[in-house]
Amino acid sequence: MASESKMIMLRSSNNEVFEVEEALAFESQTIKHMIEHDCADTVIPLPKVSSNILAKVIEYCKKHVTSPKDDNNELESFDAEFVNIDKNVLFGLMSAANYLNIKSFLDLTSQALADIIEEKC
Amino acid sequence: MEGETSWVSHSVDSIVRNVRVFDSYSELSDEGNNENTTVSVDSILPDDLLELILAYLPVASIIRAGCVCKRWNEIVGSRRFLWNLTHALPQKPWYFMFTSSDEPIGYAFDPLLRKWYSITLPCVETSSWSVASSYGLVCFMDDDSRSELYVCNPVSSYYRRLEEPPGLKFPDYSALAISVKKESHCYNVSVVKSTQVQGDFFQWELSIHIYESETMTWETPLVEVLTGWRGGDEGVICNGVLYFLIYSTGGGMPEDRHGLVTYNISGRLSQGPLLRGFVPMPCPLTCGRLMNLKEKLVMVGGIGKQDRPGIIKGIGIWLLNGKVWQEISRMPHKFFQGFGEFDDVFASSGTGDLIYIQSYGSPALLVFDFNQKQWKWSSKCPVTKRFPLQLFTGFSFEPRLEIFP
Repeated sequence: MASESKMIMLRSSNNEVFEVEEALAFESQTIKHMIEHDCADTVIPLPKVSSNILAKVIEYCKKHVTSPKDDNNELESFDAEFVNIDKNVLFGLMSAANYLNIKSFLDLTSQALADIIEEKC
Repeated sequence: MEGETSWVSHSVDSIVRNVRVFDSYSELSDEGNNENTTVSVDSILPDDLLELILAYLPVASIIRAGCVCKRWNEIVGSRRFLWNLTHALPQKPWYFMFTSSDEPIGYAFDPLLRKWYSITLPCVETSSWSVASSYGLVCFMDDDSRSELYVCNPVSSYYRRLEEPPGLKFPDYSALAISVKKESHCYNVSVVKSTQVQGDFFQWELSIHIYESETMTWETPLVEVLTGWRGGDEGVICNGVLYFLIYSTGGGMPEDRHGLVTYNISGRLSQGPLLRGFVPMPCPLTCGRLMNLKEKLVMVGGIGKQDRPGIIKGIGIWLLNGKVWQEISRMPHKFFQGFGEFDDVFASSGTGDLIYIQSYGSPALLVFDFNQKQWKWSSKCPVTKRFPLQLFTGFSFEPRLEIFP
């Protein structure tokens, strides 16, 4: 049952605007803080996050917000696949996770990068 | 804490000197290697992000990371990095095995990377000293007068000598335990001394001494004379309660050779006679080893034959629920046989999710994963038995860079 959900607008560093549900946007403590303290207008600027990174962040949050809480296996395989990407993109995601303050995403990307360092040596 | 900054900046150098880790990272930091080197990883990330990532590495890898280059060395040795480690997930416990009876040298097994590292322990003189560990700190007590106690971090080598405990020196038996409070890093050390009362075989004087690291003082909350029982060398603290094994000095049935008693060290109010809280053993044991697994009391016991209780026929693991032992697992026959000969006594130590078991006669090490309920040999220890009567023993501890004694 979908209730009337408030939509938030996020603007990436290259001026592309993404519209997302509030619940999803609130996965980011940074965004949550800005909205709750009225620091932003209708559109929240995210000058440190590019479009393609922001799109992936939204994809992660969407999966985690909409998945049923007890389906850990599915989330685990989603996460594992999600970080199975080029390490430069992974850096970008981790940096965004840190800036946007999304704890689970930060843990995931940091661990993935630590695993890469571990493997290389 | 004053002086902590200098500790921190020197800690990485000390760690690197102490833990000689094979396969160093540094070989790969040369320029001109393939593009996927640690240097290219390094050049993109700012310090604060690199700091976050390094905290997710296994402890041994963090130490090696500190050797890669000056920048990584500074990050790993920084106060902020170490402080962040307190919030990282606990690492799997290592097992240190003495490879000589007269020197404090040996190898530590890292179950995460399945490697052995050569380590020299501070403070302890021989493998017959008493050892107890909690949350990255290890306490050593000399095996003679029982008055020399040290608390150290075996990974960083920093140590502190404690004031001498009160009570009789040269007790017949003593059990050592330590418990660290995670939030404050303060700790309690407990020593249970047992000495036979002059001229009486059945009477033993037992005293409990507790050390508080905050005040750096000892107290003796209990002195009691037991009849028919004595204390021994096994004790552990779980959730503020001291558990230790007592041994029958009289005849009695085989099941009654060992018993467990408790003392609430956080309570300290008069708790009545020790034997009131007596917990019998689940079956005849040849020996028992107590350990704290995530604040639960676990015992590894040698199972004695019914008619010949001094002969070991298997090894079991029990968890204490209130006053009842719940059997968790029995060592499968193939592992029991895999040790070759098993004496009625053996070494066993555990913390976190892992239990290590080792026969005194060989450097073979068995690991039981308490979560998965699985038995597995460790990777082969780089030490071989050099002469028939050589004995091996060891202890487990959580490797933590950020805790200081």
